[in-house]
Amino acid sequence: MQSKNKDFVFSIALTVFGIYVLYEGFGIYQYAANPPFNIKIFVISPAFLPIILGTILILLSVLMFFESLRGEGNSLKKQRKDFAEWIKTIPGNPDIRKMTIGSAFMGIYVFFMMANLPFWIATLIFLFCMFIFLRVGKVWKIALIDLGTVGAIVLLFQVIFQTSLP
Amino acid sequence: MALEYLAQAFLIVTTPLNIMVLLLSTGAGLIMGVLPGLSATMAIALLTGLTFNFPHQTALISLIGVYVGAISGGCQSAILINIPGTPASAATALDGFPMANQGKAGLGIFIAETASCLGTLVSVIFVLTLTPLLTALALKFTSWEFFLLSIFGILICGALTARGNALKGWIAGVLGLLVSQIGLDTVDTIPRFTYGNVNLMATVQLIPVMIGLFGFPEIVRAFKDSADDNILPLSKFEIFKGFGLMIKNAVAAVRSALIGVMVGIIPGVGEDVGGWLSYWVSKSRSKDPESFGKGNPLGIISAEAGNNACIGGGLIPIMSLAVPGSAPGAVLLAAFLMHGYRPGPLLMTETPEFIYNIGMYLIFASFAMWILALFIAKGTVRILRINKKIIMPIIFTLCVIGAYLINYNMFDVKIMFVFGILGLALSSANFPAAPFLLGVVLGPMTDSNLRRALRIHDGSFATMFERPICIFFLTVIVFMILSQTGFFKLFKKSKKPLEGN
Amino acid sequence: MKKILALLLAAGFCLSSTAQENWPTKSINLTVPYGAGGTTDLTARALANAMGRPLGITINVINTPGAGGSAGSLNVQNSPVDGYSILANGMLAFTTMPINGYTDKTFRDWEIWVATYAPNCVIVKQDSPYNTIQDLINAIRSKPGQITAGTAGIGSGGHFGAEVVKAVAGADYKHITYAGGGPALTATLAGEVDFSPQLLAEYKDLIIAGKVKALATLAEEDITLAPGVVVPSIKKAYPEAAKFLPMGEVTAILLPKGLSEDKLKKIDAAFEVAVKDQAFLDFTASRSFSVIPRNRADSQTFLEGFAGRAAYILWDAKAITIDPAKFGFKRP
Repeated sequence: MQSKNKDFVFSIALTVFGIYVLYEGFGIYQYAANPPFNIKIFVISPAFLPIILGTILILLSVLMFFESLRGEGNSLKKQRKDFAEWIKTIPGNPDIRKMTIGSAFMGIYVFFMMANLPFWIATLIFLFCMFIFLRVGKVWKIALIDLGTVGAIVLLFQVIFQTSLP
Repeated sequence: MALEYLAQAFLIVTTPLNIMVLLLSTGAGLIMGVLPGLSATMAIALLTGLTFNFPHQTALISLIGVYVGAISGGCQSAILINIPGTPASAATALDGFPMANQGKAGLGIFIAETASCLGTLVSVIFVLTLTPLLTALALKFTSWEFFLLSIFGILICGALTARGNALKGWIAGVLGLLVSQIGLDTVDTIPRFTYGNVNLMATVQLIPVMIGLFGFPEIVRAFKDSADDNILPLSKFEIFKGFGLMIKNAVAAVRSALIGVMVGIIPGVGEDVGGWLSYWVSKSRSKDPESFGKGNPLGIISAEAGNNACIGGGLIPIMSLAVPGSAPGAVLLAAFLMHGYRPGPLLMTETPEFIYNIGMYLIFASFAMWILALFIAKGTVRILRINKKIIMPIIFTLCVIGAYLINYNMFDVKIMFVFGILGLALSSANFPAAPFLLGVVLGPMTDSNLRRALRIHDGSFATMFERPICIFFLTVIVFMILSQTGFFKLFKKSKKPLEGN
Repeated sequence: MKKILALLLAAGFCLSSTAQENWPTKSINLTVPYGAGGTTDLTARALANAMGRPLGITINVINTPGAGGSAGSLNVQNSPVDGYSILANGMLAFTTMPINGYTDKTFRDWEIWVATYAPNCVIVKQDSPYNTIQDLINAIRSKPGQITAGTAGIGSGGHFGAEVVKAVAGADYKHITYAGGGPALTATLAGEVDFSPQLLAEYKDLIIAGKVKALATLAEEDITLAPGVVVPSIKKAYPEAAKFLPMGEVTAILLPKGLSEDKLKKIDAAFEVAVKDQAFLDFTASRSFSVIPRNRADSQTFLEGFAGRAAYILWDAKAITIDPAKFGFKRP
């Protein structure tokens, strides 16, 4: 994706986010204006900064939106077309596939394995899968690196620094 | 008198036991600093418990050692893998990582550690001579000044990191500020963006956000097939060249240290801002500002001298008022109190030697740090030799531990992951992570000081313009916004045809 | 297959139950739900050290500031009750958590060991026009809602102190909250706020050095800080204030109910030793905290009175919407 095209997509996403912040901000103002807080003056309300920040975010994003349309042949139509074309290339892109699967592994490690397994077992499995997936070497070599790393971590944190791990 | 106390302190610190303790604790601090996610605050907090039963002076020596070590160690991971070890070294990564990519990682680390050492030494001079005078400066800062200073910091950081497009840097800064709004607000304890979640009510923790924003994109990028396993040459320290660079930039280094001391004194603004501010001054005074961000050694020197000088600066309000200047400073204050010292106005009458002891320990700690850091760097630069596909999953595990150890809470690890995905998306579109992080750091300060000032002055902004420091900040802020948005260029252009006529 | 599984489970159960008898086998985490350097934090650190020795392990202090202390407290409340995560908290914020709507559990759902008491003290800047507590109270009466008080936040010890001043004056003050006792103190020194009603321990040395003027303490007796430096009790000038006294922060260590009596006995014993520990006593004396140790049963009786007083100060100040009576808090 062209960098101008990325700017185009992000400026729209950020504007939408800015509008959501404003919506939440007014909700906070309402909440604070009622008992027991009774803060009705806008500038001292807890909603003051969120609303200001939301407004600034929308302003800056709109600026970025127009900037992404500037220059030779950068029309709204072209940006939309570029984006649609980029979406189509995603499934075939090996880099994006690797990055997505890798992130998914890390997500599983953080959200599921850590909650259900002791830290060192989860880490052993995670690192092993990760190294296999990234094809860093032979299986025995991977197992060695894996065990060495987990051993070093447990030694450093639990024995030397005396902290408890997850 | 002063010399006598210094001599006594020198004798205390040079006993074999104390030298041993100093080296060990400085080394431990360095390692914690190098590992992403283990912050200086945590290092001191851990040690406070461990050293409780040490003799007082030995305990103080180890605390100072670990503090200096942790703040200085962060630069190594920033330079080598573009993941700052502590939030304070985010500015170092800006020039340090490009330098490492040019095969000059060794030189980069050498000047970073030397500048750290120098920064600490300069700050010690201030602690020893000007503590009472500089305390007065800290008291000049009221809510308005704090508010403007934090806005100023985020604007600078946004403009510095965005490579010519300040818009993206500022958007990142605004996003960071918004993230800091999550939680119970600090003025009225009203929940904002919490969705009824207790963990969110306690606000999003800084360290997990930092690890996610900086670490995650670097880790995931290493998974690419096309990320060639480019192994960088193992570079030498090039000590002579390094010294040459230090001497050439000595004025800038001392200036950065001075800025660091000033920032350190102001309560609530710590090492994180010190590095950015001195980096900005060096860049804007440079004849060749374009070279910053592309591996300019002066960038590393300014950032590191600036953030390390905050250590001494931060000690000044601790010693004179018992009010800490930063989060690690707060833990240090607690440790001083635990060991029976009473920092504050009575310090000079009750235990006059204390301030000289601390100064002397700082001097020794900074030299110990310098030597040990170079030793450790001999090992850490080897990371560049190892395949990134092996290193990065291991670093992810360390990131998980770092995020967890902040509060011993799995929620923070999940926050780290979420901000990692966000950081990946933002960095793919060239949004810098540093202003986002600084926004999270300074957000509570911005919000509470702005609203506090407005509440004190019954909702009026007018009082802001009656305070000299405020007017100074306002002028600089307006000037910077105008210059970044090309207002001056516009002015110049419109002038030219006039001259032509 | 099922049998094997059951056997394994039983074996695991046996293992874990034998482990319980050997408690503690690893370091204990003591959560302080505030930043480092405050009253609760310092008391907790001194206690952690003194209690770790009889238990034979180290107690790590973890600072988890946020949400006025309720985040850290709820973290401990929600973590497994295995005796390895303990809380140290100020009782003002802790006992008012349910009426602030943070949780449905009250202090009666916790095992509590009350350790120290630190009184409030009203201070003003050195060159302030107010020289006595009467000056300040009269100023509040003549300019209701104008005199600013700097505290460490809603529900902090300072906030309660300010509410007592308000009740005595019969007129409102302007509440300015800071991120902690330290910033509130600097703001008082810088003249941003008119007075600060935080804890005496936070500015003891500044009072002795004459950098701030101490107008009154909210303890029941006068307090002598150093020869010739006496802080009068507010009772002297305003006897009607007596029903709010003593006001100040009470620090205790606590853990959620549900731990075996066996382990609780071990903590009881360690606590007994700790509050007589010389290093602990020296430390509390240097900070002007009183050590008021109470065992588990006495702590509950003590807190019945204390929590009622704190809750009704907030209720009368219209700072909360949940009626303390809902949780059985008694009006003093």
